[in-house]
Amino acid sequence: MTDFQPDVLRTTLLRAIQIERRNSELYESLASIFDDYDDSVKAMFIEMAEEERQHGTDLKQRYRARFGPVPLLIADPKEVIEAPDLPDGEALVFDSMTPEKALQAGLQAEEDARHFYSVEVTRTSDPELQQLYRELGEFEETHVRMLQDKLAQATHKTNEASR
Amino acid sequence: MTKKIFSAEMAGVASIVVMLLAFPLSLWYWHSAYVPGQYPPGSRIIRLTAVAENGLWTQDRVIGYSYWWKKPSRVSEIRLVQGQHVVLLLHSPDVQHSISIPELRIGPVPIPAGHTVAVEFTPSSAGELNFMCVQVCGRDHSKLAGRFIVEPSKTAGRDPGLHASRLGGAIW
Amino acid sequence: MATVQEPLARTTQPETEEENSWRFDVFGRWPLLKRLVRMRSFQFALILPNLALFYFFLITGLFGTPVGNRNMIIVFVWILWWVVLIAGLMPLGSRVWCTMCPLPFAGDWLQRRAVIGVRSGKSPGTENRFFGLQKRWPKKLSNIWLQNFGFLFLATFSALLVTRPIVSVALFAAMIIIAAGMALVFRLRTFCNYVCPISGFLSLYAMTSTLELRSSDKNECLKCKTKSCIRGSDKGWACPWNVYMGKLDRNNYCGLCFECVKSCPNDNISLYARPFATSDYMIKGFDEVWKASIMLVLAFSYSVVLLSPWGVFKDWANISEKHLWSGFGAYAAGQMLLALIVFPGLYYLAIRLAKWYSSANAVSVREMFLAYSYMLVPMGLLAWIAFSIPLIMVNGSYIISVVSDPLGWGMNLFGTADFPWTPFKPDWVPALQVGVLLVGLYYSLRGLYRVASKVLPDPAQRNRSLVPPAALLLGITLVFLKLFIG
Repeated sequence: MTDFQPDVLRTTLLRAIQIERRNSELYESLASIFDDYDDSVKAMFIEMAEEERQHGTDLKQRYRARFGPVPLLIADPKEVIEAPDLPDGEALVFDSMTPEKALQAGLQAEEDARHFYSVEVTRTSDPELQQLYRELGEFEETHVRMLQDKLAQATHKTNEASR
Repeated sequence: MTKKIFSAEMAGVASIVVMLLAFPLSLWYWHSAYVPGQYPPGSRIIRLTAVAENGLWTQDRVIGYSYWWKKPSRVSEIRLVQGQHVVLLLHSPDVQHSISIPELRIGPVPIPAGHTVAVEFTPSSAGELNFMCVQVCGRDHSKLAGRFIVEPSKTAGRDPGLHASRLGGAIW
Repeated sequence: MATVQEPLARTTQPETEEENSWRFDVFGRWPLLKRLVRMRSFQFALILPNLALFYFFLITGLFGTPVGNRNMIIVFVWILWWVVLIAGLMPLGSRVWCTMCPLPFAGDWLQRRAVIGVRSGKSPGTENRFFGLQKRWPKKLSNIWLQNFGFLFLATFSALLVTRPIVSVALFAAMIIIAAGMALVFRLRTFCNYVCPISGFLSLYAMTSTLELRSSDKNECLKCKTKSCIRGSDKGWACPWNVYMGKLDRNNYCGLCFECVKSCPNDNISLYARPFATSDYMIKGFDEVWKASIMLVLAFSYSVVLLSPWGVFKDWANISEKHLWSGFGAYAAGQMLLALIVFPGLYYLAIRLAKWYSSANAVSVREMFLAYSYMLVPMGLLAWIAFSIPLIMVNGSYIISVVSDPLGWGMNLFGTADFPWTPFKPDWVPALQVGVLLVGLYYSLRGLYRVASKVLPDPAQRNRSLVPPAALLLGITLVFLKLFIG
């Protein structure tokens, strides 16, 4: 193991924290688009923003346990991993956004992140880094499952309401 | 807003106000001052429209907003003054007409649809001058006729409704 | 030794090889244009002359001669503007007419309380200060059905609209008033998105255009936390069309106001030139399919009523003078039936045959019906252009006379008031119409092939599925050819 290994692990974990923070801001931005337009969609995005903040907090705890105090993160990550987005450019033209679609956007983002980390495991030969990526992948896996459950519940509710 | 944008904003609003005023004022000027200015001073300008439906000459406005709902009033007689130069501004709001004033050997002067045509004359003696449409313009074509009553210059009683140089007159 | 490679970027939808065979960044090539577009006064500078023109048109319509070909509103709007729009602005410039349209201007001013500047603040969903009630447009009407029926209704009275100045005045005045009223009640340009009949067909045919406004790097949009393109900022208004540039993939509802170019914090939006009718194949809803059907049928209907030798149809349509109510009823009902039921029915039949013949069991009829309907778009646009050719070539000389005497008052501003009606090379008209229709057929078949390739990747299935719709396209072309050249 070389000297710079802890630094690579540290920066990787920092990047993951940056991503969660950035994504929570993205969800807040998406929520504000639906301000006074669709309360249910806005609420869904706000909920997901809160979850991302919680994910960031969890990651910060891991960081502190391993490396000590978390430095102040100023810049946003360059990567677009896990960045949520509206499903299409005309979602507000056709008023086609629903809370389910908001959840799907979040789910897509989390699945991207899970996939990203699983690919990163294969792209590095360092066992510690691989282990970190696996942990981050599992971290995202829990989020994926949580969102899948939420989506199933929301879809079920919608189907019940439409009957 | 920055000062620059505010200035641009004011300039924009000003240009809209100028535009809103400029067109009506220009048209008013053209109608009330420019056109009379093209003819000898003291000329009598008479605007006449030939309407094929019901076959009538009228001095009412037969224009975009009035054509469909307002029935124009028929003009059968127009009083003129002997020796006063007359300018007839003739308009057709429907089909091609053609005017003739046989006593003065004027015409046929075509009045194409949508056009305004000027016919000038100076009645040198008192009497009656017939005018009529001489191009078949519809089933009421034969009704498109009238007459000018030329009064001797000293006894003429001007019909104020026909005086052409009055500002703010009929716009068409 | 550990190796760490650069992380993979999230990819957006990959471009297929047939799309964008050439495409270049207009702003990149002409930076001056970008500087102009980013100026706050840019759009107003384009709108003001049109505002002046349309204001003058309203005056001529109200106070000018009722004879259509001697009144500027009829000649300039229904001959000049129409031909420039359908044959020039739209195919080449997408919805660039909307950039300079004066009709919603009053509404914009009432909503923004500004003609040039931008107001920061908070209004529902935006970072700008808007005025009015800012209500949300009803969800059930968030489509173009209103525009479909509106345009069909107007088309029923087309014979009056394009020949009577006062009717044109009534239409434009109504649009200005409705747009202004809606701007005071609803958010953004609701009138333009959902009500304006012109916007309806512009949205459809803009898909074929050679210009598009898109984000340069979708990843930048993904990372963008402000989403200023749709939310606005202190540099630009929130998108009046409610379009999100980060995912925009077609021209339909982008009105080219360029507010997003001003407000984007990452300078990530640019204007691109691309080949005609080679992108934007996606039809997203049945409202758009019916729009395509309505426009194609109306191109046919207008040609019959206004250009054909069968005067009886013109008489039927000319209700204000002929008063043939039974004929008018037959004409109106026939037109609506054809546009709303018969032609869509024919198209549906073609799709059912296509699905059966290709044994495309994995694809639903709905999916095929929507996807393949793109084929009606180039055909419709070129049919309208073919209809417009005689308009300008035969009647274009009226422009010369009317420009000197716009109201029929006897003016002669440029000495051309008595310029006689002079058809320009009328013997060329049929040949030009044939050429244009065949171009429409080519692009429609090409678009059909591209769409079918995405829906049915298997070449054998794809090719079989093309036969019935292609036959329908050929039938449409033959009908128009028969109409135009006998």
